Amino acid sequence: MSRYLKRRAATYLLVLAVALSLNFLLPRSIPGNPIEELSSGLGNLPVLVDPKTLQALQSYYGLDKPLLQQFWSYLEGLTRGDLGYSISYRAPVSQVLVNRFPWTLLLTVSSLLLSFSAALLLGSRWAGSQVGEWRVLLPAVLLESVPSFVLGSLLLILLGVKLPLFPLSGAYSTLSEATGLLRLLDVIHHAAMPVLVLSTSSFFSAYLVVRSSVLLVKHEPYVLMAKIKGLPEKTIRYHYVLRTALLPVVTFFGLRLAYSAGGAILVEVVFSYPGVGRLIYEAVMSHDYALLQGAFLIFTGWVVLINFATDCLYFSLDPRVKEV
Amino acid sequence: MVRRSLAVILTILLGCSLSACNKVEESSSAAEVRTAQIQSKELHLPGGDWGLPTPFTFYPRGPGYIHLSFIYDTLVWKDEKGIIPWLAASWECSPDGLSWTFQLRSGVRWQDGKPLTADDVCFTFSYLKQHPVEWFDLEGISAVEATDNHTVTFYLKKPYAPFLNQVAGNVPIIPRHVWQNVADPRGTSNVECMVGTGPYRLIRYDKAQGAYAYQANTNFFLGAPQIEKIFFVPVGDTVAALERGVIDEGNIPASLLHRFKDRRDFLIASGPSYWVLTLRFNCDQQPFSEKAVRQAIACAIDRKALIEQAVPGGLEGAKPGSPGFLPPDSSWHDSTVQHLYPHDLTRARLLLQSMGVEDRNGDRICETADGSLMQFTLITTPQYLREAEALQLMLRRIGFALQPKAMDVRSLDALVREGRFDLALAGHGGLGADPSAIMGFGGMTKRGQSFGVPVDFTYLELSEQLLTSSDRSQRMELCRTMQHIYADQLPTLPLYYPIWFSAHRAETLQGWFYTAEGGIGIGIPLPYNKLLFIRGNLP
Repeated sequence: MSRYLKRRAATYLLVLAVALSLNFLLPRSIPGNPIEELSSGLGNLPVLVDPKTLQALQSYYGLDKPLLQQFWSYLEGLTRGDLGYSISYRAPVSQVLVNRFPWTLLLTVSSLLLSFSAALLLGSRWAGSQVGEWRVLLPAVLLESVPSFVLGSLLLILLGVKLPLFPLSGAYSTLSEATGLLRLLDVIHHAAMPVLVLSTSSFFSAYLVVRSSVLLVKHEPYVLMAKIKGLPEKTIRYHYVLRTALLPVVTFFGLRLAYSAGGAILVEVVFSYPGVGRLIYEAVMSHDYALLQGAFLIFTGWVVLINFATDCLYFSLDPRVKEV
Repeated sequence: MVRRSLAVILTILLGCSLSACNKVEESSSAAEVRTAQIQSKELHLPGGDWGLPTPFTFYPRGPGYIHLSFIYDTLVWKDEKGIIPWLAASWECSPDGLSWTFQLRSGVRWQDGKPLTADDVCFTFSYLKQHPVEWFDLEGISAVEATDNHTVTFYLKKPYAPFLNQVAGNVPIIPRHVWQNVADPRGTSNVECMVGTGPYRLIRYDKAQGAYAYQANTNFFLGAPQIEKIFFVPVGDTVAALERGVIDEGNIPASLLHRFKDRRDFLIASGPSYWVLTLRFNCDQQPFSEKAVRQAIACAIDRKALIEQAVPGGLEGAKPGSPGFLPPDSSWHDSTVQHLYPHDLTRARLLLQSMGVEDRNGDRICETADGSLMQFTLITTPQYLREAEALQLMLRRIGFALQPKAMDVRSLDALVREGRFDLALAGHGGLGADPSAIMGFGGMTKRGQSFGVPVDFTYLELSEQLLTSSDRSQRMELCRTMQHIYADQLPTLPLYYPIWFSAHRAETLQGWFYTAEGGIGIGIPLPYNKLLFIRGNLP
């Protein structure tokens, strides 16, 4: 590993340590605590808990201990791979996250791959074209300006109710006993509409990045030379222009991928998809410290990991980085 | 061109084949599914994760308790008319109100075949004392004793009028032989612990998707339930799921009621929500600490107009708020307080003038004698912004300038609890429970602080009497007096009580009802009373 990568790795470890402390402190800075939340005066049916029971519950979840002691227990738990116990979900945090995280990744990663592939394909073909580009830009701008939950609801009515081609909600058929290929098809079938909505909403920004990058490279002297040499249009487009233009696209993809762990709350809500975005929202609302800590830790780890992977990719894509 | 057409055809074919592979949950042929359901007596209801249905792991909210009630039984239960015998065949209260004796039904068996005994009832209460659950309030019980195998007596620290509703009809009885060796019931995820006497067994629980599958308990003490399987499936949009046939019943908002009315395939059931939207005053702060100012605001608000403006087309069936707090649907409601504050701007202005609040500089905003402007923030949640804006316009007419501010319900609750607000617009349910539980909110120290109650010694004394008195006519009189005090003091102004609507497929199951006395258990106003599925009024 080069000095550059070692330095990056050390920086990311430091970021992880700071994030770990912030993840512990920030949820506790919100007014109230998860036990108080159990006794709410508002809602459809107010549950008013007597102080003795509240005290017993504080003690059961270790929330009556001093903050430093709680932090120490949290760190101790982490060394054993124990992320704590979710008060609102009545289950170990790791179990709750393991149940939700893969579904979010499935949605966000496949929608990013879809939108970036389309952006690369169309961007390299139409960038700078006087007439043809509008065929891409106009619908992309129109779709980008529609909020994802509106688009999701429209698709739900059109392809879910009027033309019942796709399921309305969930990540798979809960009552189905299907296994193997049928199960896989079932999962793809359920993910189709949410992925379509998410990729539509991320296509335009991806297209713009590809477009501007391609336009910069397109007029480089070596591209002109390739044209003069009479190389085929496709070879110039994909081997000469796109390859060089990929660098900012990879960075942008990395960034989008890193933030994708946060899920797509609105789309998850519209399609009742069991992703992590909605889970985090509910955890914030119920002040579920353990779940927030665990989820944010996974997010931080994911962001750091993707950033590090992007750095490594840069390292191999652009030889100039080796000299830094 | 040919390639493009081929791609379109392939896409359509793929879509169709994917649809076909998912026949169990979402068959496009609704008729086939309906026929199958009637034959196999299955029911599909909107799901959502409400925890593993044991008394220690369910999420302490209404739907969580509904799931629990399918597996576990309580000593008494409620139908559409009132309290009925359930695990207990009969019961009696001692004349001093300090003990309750229940005679258990004979021949009741746990789902694993072992018989239910009075010892299981005693064990339930002692185990719940050791491992408290926020949903069950057992503070008032001093001892539970089994006199014989079928008789159990509860001894109370002081008389507790809502005992049947809040304890006997709420606490699920658990088997000693299953739970006695479980040291940490909150941490358990063992499905073998889910042995009840109830009409259903849980056969599948999918936490991530919020899906449940229940199978009828054929050895249930009232006979095998008519509905053999109940599925709670994930649903994003209830109305879309109803239309598509994914679910057989769903709660629908009043604004979408027209879509299901006059349709042969759907029936509508409606019931009181026992829910209220209130305007809360910060009574510790000027000018709302003055009773006359609160009364003036009550006169300035047209509560009927508010109902018409709440949603486009009006909030169908909703009733205007009663200044005495209890809703007209409650049997404890005193109708004489309902019209104490009719919409009357002249009276409102006179009341304000009596407190020295009037527009002194002609800017159409009132001031007090010391020059304080009547400008306030009205905090609310995003779903009641429409009502907040209507209130802003109504109070502008008496010279009060309100600035609505939306926030999440938890933050609003915290601000109200800490007294950091001027006016708050928020709602809550539970109004169908025993009146002592409603009128006494905040009156007793152990209760929540965010419910406004009159700061009045007589009122607090009456609420204590209401809690301990077991004579219904005496309680009715106490309740009436309390409603008059409430209406006079107006710590909060009830604005309206909506109605709940449930649409269900006519050919699947009929006879849906909303449970009496506020709803299931301690007052859950949902139509999923297990009695309906046991009876199974098939068309």
